[in-house]
Amino acid sequence: MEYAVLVDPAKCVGCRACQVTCKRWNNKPGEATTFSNEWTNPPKLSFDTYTHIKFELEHDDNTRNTKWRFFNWRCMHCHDPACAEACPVGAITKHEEGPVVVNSDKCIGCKFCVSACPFDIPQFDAERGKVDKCHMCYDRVPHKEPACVQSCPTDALVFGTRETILQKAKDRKAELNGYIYGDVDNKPLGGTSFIYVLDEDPSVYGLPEVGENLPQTVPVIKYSKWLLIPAALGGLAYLVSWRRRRMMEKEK
Amino acid sequence: MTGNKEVPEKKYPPEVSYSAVTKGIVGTSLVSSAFHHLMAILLITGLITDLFGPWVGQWISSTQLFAQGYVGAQLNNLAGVLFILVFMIYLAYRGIYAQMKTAIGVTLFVDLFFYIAMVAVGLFAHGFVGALFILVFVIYIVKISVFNKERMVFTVTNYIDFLLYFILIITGMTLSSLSKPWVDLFPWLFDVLSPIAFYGPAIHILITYVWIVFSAVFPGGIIHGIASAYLISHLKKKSNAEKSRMR
Repeated sequence: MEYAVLVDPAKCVGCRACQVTCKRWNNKPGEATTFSNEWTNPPKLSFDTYTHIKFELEHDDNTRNTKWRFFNWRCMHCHDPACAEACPVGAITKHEEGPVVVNSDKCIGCKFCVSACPFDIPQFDAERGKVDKCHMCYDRVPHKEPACVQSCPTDALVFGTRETILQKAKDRKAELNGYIYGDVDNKPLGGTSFIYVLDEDPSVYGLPEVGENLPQTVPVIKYSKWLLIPAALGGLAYLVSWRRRRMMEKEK
Repeated sequence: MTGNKEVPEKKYPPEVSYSAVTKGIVGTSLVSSAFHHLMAILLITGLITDLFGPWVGQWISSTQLFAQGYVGAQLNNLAGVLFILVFMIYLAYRGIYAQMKTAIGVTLFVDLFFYIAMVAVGLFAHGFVGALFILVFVIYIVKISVFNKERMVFTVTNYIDFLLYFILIITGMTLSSLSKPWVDLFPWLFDVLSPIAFYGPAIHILITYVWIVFSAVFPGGIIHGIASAYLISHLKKKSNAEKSRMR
């Protein structure tokens, strides 16, 4: 059975409990941080930060109204993950329950997944030579919800079977008169296991517009090896003609 | 009695074996040898990874981890440096060896042994071998632009090859720049290369196979490295023989 998580930024208060719990569950270290104009730390996802809360401040000069948008960001766990397709060593797998997981024992740090992901999720660590990202607590699902969901105090993150979550997303969308991102006409990438219900257009949250199918680069990476067939045939033809020419020269 | 020397007659067609060609190429041009060997290692390691990735991935990864246990986080740098040292010692050794008359079987064995060792290291240091290749590539280009001896054996195939190498280098650097090494050294690279980051791997792989097709199909392509290396060494021998005849 496939599971999913509903992300409701309108309910998020930016406490970052999900961020902290994620680190604790995965035994990830804290990172040295500095002041930046991101309003939050660490400023973005990294090899050691699977989950990140984005802080966005919206200010209307005319009405002098200020609005905070807090927004949970990590791997979307796509139905057809571009990262898994691009990985040359099969180190990324899509689990039946929904999670897309990187097997670090297999990862060779080629970073093809980093390039392929339209959401810019997989994070490379130069020192370890590996890529890592959120694995949707595949070691807990389905018996227990992901650690981030368990820690959320405002139900901005809700875990359940995919059907239930989709239904909840639709209900909430009607309530907010908003938008769903993650499973509209199988976009992006066949639908995702993290589904957003938003009060504004996804572009306001900086969510990229990703199509139903894999990015064009992935089939190129996968199928260009078939060019070895004409290469082998061409090479063979060349060797045959070279040998024939040599034989003729010898005869002369 | 005159002081004329007996010049042994050249065998035609000349013997083309890996060992004979390596001897010739190292004796003639160290840079050319480094260039062709690095290119071959990059091609072989790249192809092994792309074609047999699901099977060799675990081995490459565990080799990385095993070495990390001993040398810490700088494994890849160390492997790269180790590779360069071994390779340079090997080249120097071959350069001396090339002057000796030894049984081909022994040299072939030594060649293959070193080659397998280099490929094994190259498998988990493809990026660093690539970085070294870039340096050698630049030296090689400068060298062939300056010395007529090597430029004269260049064909259209070679020039197109260089164009393809150039694309492979740019996309290879783009992939490296997704992490730190290149960007740490040259911060401006990030702005230059980031627009093609999304297409980097696809172009890198596609161009590799296009290059293989091109090399296989066009005359002078499939064994162009060996052919041009042999031609250079043959020309050198010929000119040496003529010089000694003149004396």
